[in-house]
Amino acid sequence: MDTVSSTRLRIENITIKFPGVVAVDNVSIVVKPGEFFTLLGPSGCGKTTLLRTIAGFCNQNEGHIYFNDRLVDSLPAHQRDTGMVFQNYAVFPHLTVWQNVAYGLRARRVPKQEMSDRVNEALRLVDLNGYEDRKPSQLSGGQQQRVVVARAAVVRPQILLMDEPLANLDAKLRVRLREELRELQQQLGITTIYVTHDQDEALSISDRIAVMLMGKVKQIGSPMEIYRHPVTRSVAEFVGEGTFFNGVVRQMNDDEITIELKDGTSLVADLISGLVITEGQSVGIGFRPQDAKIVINPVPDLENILIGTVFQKMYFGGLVRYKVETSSGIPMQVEEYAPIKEGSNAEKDSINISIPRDRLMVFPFGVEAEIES
Amino acid sequence: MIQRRLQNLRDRYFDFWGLVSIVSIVIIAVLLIFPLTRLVLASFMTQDGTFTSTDNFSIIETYIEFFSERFYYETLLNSFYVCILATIFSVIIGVPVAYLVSRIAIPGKIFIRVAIVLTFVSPPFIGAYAWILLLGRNGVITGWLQIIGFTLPSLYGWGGIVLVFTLQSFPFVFLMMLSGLRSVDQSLEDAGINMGRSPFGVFWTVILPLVIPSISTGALLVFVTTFSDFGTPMIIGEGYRVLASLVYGEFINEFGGNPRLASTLSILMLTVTFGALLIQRQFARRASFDQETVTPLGLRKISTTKMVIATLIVYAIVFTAFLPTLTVVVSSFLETRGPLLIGEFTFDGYLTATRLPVSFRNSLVLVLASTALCVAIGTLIGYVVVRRKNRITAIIDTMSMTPYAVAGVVMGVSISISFGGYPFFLSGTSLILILSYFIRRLPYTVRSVSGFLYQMGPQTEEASINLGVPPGSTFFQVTLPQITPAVLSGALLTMATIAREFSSTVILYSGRTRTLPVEVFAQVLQGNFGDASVVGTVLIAFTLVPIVVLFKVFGKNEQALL
Repeated sequence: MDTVSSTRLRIENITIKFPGVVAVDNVSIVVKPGEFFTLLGPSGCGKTTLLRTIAGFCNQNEGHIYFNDRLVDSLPAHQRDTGMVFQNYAVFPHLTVWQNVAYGLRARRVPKQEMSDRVNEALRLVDLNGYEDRKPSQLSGGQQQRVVVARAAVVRPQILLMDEPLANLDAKLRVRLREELRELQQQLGITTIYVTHDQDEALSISDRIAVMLMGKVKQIGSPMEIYRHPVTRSVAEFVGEGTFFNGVVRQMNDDEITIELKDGTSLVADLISGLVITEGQSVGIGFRPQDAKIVINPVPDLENILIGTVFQKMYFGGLVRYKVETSSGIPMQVEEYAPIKEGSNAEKDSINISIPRDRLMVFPFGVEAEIES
Repeated sequence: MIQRRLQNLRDRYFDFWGLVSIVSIVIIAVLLIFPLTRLVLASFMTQDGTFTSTDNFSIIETYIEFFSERFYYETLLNSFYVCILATIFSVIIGVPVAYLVSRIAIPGKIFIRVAIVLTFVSPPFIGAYAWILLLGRNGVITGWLQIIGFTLPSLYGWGGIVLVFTLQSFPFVFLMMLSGLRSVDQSLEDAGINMGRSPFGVFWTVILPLVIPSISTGALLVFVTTFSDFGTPMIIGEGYRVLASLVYGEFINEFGGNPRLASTLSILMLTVTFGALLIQRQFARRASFDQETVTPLGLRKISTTKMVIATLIVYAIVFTAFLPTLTVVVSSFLETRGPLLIGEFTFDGYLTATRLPVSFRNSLVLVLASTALCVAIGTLIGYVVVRRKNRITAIIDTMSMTPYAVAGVVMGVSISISFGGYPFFLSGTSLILILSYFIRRLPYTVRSVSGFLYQMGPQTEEASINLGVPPGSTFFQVTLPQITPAVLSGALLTMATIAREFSSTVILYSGRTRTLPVEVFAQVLQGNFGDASVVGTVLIAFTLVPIVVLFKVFGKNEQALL
């Protein structure tokens, strides 16, 4: 399939209201041509509503949507030229696989020979040649979803829209199909908006991610930025696991800050550019479970040492996860990798944890303050 | 700003579906709201066509008259009496029979299904005259019993009405109970027994409370249908007058009926049926629970003795209910003299029933025409109420379900006073019957299509639009092929119910538009039980055809008849 010249999507101050709720609240996003862009958020955060608005199935109350520089606000859904992949497939049950894929080409009055070529090519891309005459009821869930992907891609839409396309598949198939989706998108180079609530899926598949919470975009960035440098605790908590607590900024200079915890312990963290804090301000702090190190004997040059008691230990094969509580009552999660010996760090044991300064996440608002807001 | 609002309004309402919404609301306004309003007005209108109250003339005169004269108000009390009794007996019979049928491996369940379906498809008053054939003064069974010197209590009067009502209506409760039981999970019964209750105790404390809403729906259907039925009381009541028969009598009076009084009586009927509907809705809402059913209640193992007893009980009841239908069919092949059956087998009845071909053709034409209308309009309405939700379609949704609660005779009276005379002059035409059937049975297609669309979800339609096909063509290319089964099964059900429609027909028909049910009724009243059986059998067959297709081709079961 030829690569089409890709489209830039510009979403400008979009607000979408439903009776009693603001589903999408003043969202602005620019998606680069050919980019694989993911809207990540829990259910009810407005990501599907935003996607459906791009497709033209919902109307925004405020704001504008541009495909390249063309304003599409008043364009009805059937003229928007997007290709949508639905969570529950939405394959036409009364049509064969071939007819399903050809459906959009018919609407575009593509000549017969070209139509046939393009349908076959699309079916080959999703590995479904040989299934042309099957009815959808004779296909598995994964195959049905491939039909829908082919159907959306074959019309060479300006933008591909995927609404949790893998959510109804079992875990193994999900992982395989997401690899295929990424590969297909790279081949076609179509600008793609992908909606999911699964952070693993988002992190592994996307060029960039927008994290949406309660109708608002909280952060836009590359998967690693989102994971490593979440701007708020709620983003950090949604994108991955971790331990979170509060502290007060005691000291700061050009590249590091010192934060004091309730129990008087001091932690040192790298100062990320763009972080706006002042001395004396209370902040949220956190770290990912895989970033803390369990140390047997604290050596003086190890920094950020916390002492705690193991109260639960769970074995996951590749790792052991400890739930630890510090003497001042902060619950923490720590992981140890590729364990091969039983017996170390049993429940009720006291252990020392070290958190490297470049792994400590700092959020400018106090945790409670953010929860309240 | 204003321009944008106008643009929004236009986008929302004035496409193809906007047009459908508007046409639907006009249809409902003309065929439902207008006639019911006319009915209300007619009940207040004095003889000179005004609403003025004077000292000796009140606009609620007929209402005062109704509630002050025993001759009138007695009919309301009688109606309540026989209908409530019939409802109670229907529950007493329907609930245990349904429970036994669903929980015990009773042999030959197919016969039970067939019998229930046949009682359903028989026209409402057929039970009355069939029981007269069996237990009446010259009845077959009465004769046998007299030979052994036994005299039955009289069948005529309220007792007979209650008997006939109960036997032909308990299937409502039976079917609702079955469907209710289907949504009770087996684990609930297991849990009850696990905690030390007897199976009977679990039935009372767990299962019954969960199916109460279903039973109440069945009971409502019994009450409303029996309350609206005047054929049965007229045939078997012998002077026991109920409200529905009074409406009929006042409207179709040989000495010039009294439309104002008939309208007043209709309003009273409407109030009762609507009231019953609202009370039941409220009750069912409060009594119902959300249930997740993984494994529905299974069959229970019981001892052989109990099994035999249960089987006998079920068969006895179902056979009794089926007996009228059987009687009609059998007697259509017997020689008769007036109301007397003579034992000779013959086909002559079918050849000598002079008005059979005409009434058959009338029924066929009317059924096909009104079904076609119901399907075409009902499908579009079913679509807009599900897929184009807005204030207009919400009104359409509510209004299109209203005909359920309007008794046939009330519908007939209101259509007749609205369209019979000036300026429409439709009285006696086929069109007035078609309009009345159409509006009355519209809910079947609407419900069938909207139910299916809710289940189907909008995704395939959105996919089609997303691929560049406009909403109108999407309906024909993607929606219609998918909802065809629902449309056709709605159509078959509509055909079956219109074919046996009696109570509004009898208000609206003329010599040229006699249908099969009217013909049966006329023959019964004239005492020609032979012709009545012949025409009745043809009618049963006529009604059965669409239902057999519905079951065989669309895999529906008797639940679809509710």
